[in-house]
Amino acid sequence: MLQVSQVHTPGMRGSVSFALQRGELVMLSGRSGSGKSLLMKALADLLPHDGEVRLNGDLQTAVPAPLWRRQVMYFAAETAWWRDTVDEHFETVPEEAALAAIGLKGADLQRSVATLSSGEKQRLALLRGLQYAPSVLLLDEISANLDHHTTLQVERYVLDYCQTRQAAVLWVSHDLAQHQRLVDAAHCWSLDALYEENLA
Amino acid sequence: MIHLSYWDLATLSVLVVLLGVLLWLNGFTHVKQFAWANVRMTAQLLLMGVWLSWVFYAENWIWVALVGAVMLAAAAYEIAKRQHYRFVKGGSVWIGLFSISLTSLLLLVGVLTIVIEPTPWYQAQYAIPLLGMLLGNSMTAIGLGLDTLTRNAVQLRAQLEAQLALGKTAKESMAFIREQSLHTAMIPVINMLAAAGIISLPGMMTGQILAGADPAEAVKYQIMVMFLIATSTGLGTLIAVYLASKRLFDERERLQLAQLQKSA
Repeated sequence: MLQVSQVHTPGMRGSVSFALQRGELVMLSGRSGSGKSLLMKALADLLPHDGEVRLNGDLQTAVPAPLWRRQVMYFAAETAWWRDTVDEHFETVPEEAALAAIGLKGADLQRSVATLSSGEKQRLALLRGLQYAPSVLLLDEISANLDHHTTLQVERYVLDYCQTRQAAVLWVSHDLAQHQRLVDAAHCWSLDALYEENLA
Repeated sequence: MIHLSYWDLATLSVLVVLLGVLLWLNGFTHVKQFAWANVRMTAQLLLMGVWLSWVFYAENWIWVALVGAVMLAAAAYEIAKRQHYRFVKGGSVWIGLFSISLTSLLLLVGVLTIVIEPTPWYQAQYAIPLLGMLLGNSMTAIGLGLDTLTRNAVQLRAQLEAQLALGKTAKESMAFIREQSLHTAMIPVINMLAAAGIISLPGMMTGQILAGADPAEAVKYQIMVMFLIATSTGLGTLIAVYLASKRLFDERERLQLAQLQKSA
């Protein structure tokens, strides 16, 4: 579904090529500073970059940028909010069941962003992006601030989204236990290996 | 009108000097700028006085246009100078020049040809003071609007990129910053309008009254000028904010903060 060929952006050690299939979950690891976030931002076309990216055959440059980003969506490690309360960031209110699945309540939507913990922000930012039903998720350490129990909930939620919507997920995580937990459902790649593959 | 001698002015300047000393004793760090601003103001106004007498006397549109061009260029330069972050390649000067020229010239020509109708319509006695009043206020508003916009774009980069990542357009992502910029730019004008006639007697009206004009007539002129000022500041700011927002994004609607550099 997502074809990536020779993508490179300043700050990345080399260029990478790979493909993601529908319903595929890939856990991506790599040393700090190896360019994981840069790669993901390039895939979402948030950074100028070389190489070619295609979604279902459509070239990235041929699709209007906002439309592309709505389909190939980047979820940042540090969430950012531009209005005062949570619900102002939603066009469609998430269902109670979706909130409950990752340990949130309907009342959380009425809260002021300033009162949220970073873990709550990360989970709300996940729902904030999923309201647009993207077909490729680029998750940048989105469970870094969560306790064990909530991490498991988020993993299950993402996996479920990936399978029911047949979405492709590229998930950057430093948590080795997380890689092991998801090993049955996911492929585990390392960015350094991707660089070398591309050189060969 | 009662004549003022240069000695009168020299005597009054003692006030400013004393204030400068007082400020300096109290730890004010910009005494030099304060002194320089006073010297500049005096020199600029004296020059303008001589220059205008000549332009009035010559009655040639070329001179009027030339004075206007110098005023516009100076206003654009001042707008750019007050920016904490400036656009590369003199971008701030161009944005300032374009936005301030377009609105103030359009309004000036409009009011001269349709409302006041002096003969000829570009008569320096009307054109230049009117342009000056429009520029002074627009310059402040555009400068504030641009500064708020670029500062916020740098500080709230994460908030902008988060919105872009969600598939919002550059324009939608800038909405919250645009609101703030327009607000900051328009507040001085709104204050000025609200204070006129109760708290402050606007300079132009006061000048006319001091020169012996009928207060009722002076007030009408002042109201006209206030409408013009409000329109030109608002329109100028809108144009500047629009142009600056556009420059902050590339053709793929990616935020490009490399377009900005911190002023020295």
